[in-house]
Amino acid sequence: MRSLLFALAATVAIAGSTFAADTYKLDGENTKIEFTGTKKDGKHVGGFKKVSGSATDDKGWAIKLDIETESLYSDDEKLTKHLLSADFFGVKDNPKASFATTKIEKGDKGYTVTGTLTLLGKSKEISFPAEITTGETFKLKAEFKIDRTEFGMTYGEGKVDKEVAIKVDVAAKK
Amino acid sequence: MTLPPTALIVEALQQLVLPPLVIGATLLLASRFVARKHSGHIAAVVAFMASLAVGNWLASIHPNWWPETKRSTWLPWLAAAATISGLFVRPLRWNALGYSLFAAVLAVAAIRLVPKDYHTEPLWALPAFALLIGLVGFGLLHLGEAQPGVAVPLLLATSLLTAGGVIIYAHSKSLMDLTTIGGYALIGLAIVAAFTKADVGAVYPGATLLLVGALFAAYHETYSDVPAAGFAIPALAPLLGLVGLLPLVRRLKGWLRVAIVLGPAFIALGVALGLAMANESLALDTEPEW
Repeated sequence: MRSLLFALAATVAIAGSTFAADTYKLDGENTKIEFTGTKKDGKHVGGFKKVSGSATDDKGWAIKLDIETESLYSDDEKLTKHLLSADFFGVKDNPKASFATTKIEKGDKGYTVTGTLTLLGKSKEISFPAEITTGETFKLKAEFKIDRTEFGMTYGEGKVDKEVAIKVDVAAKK
Repeated sequence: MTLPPTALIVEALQQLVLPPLVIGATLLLASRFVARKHSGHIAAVVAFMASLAVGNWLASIHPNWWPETKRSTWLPWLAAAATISGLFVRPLRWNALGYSLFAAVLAVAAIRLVPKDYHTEPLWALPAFALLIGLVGFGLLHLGEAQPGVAVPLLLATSLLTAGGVIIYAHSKSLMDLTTIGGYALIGLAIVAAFTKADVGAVYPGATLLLVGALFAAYHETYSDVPAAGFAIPALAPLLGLVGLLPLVRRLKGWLRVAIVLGPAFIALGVALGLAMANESLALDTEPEW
């Protein structure tokens, strides 16, 4: 009986290790999200300190990320306060932004990540190229642009550029 | 005290100051030639709405025009609707229709301008918001009727401009733009009213909604060290002007009555701006923020 139970446990353990998804926990330490806004005579860089989510390999990769918008920072203290206001991120009414992949495809020159970005309560599908490496550490590097006005961030049209450059750098251990 | 860069001053003059001021003054002046009876009310309401529209276009405050989720996109529409309710009450004197429309506007304002957090907690927030707009808006409308001329539009204009000052120190440009446009439209009306003794009271409920709504939104939406009193005082200051409705003050003549109506409110507004300036700063001496 004891050997039967042992065999059963071993089978479950092996099956578990075979079919369990590889999951990497994402947080503010291992996931850096930066943005660069530009205007006619300059630019400003900022980002978010607090993010949480996961990258999971379960018959294909899936990434989920929640961003605490109140953790926003920038290269200018007063600008940070302005970015937090409803002119930009409207953090009091939109405390979270999120991104969830719908498709990650491997191509000749790396990966193409497609997913839904929710910002200011508006969801929109975006797609961007990324370098992804997996193993003990899940790494993702991407640089792309989004049109902030498509999410309702319309402040300063004509003065502040619509397109905002986004830089994502993930290095998460299992 | 550092002045803003010249380019910013010129831009503000072109987009937020001169257009509403000219629209307000010109329409009220023109209305005096076309039809004297009730013309001030209608000219004021048209000028106020036109100023908000032109200002929105020139300053690209809300390029999509139609209201969305942001409070700043609802404010001008609700303020415009409230001015129409003012037209029903004065000069048409269809009070039931006017007050009903105003109540409907306030109901929408409660949903669109007041954050959900304040709908139930504290219990007094929503009634206080509605009561303050009603009391100031229609209180000033009655005061304007008793004391036509410069005092009341100047009181509301100064309150709106001070609100704009407080709000920009709290780092919200869109809401500052809206209150500044409303303020200068009323300055334009006040300049002409000073000479013609015109009553422009129909515009007061809408201007008050703009004032209180912008300050409430800014208090909720911004991240700054401007104290709550800095936002509350400009919203409450016009109440001090209602002292002009007291029989004792109504019996006074000329500038003494104007001084009694405006004086205490101006002092309160100065305190509010002082509070904002003492607790926050603007990036005017370095690179302008967005």
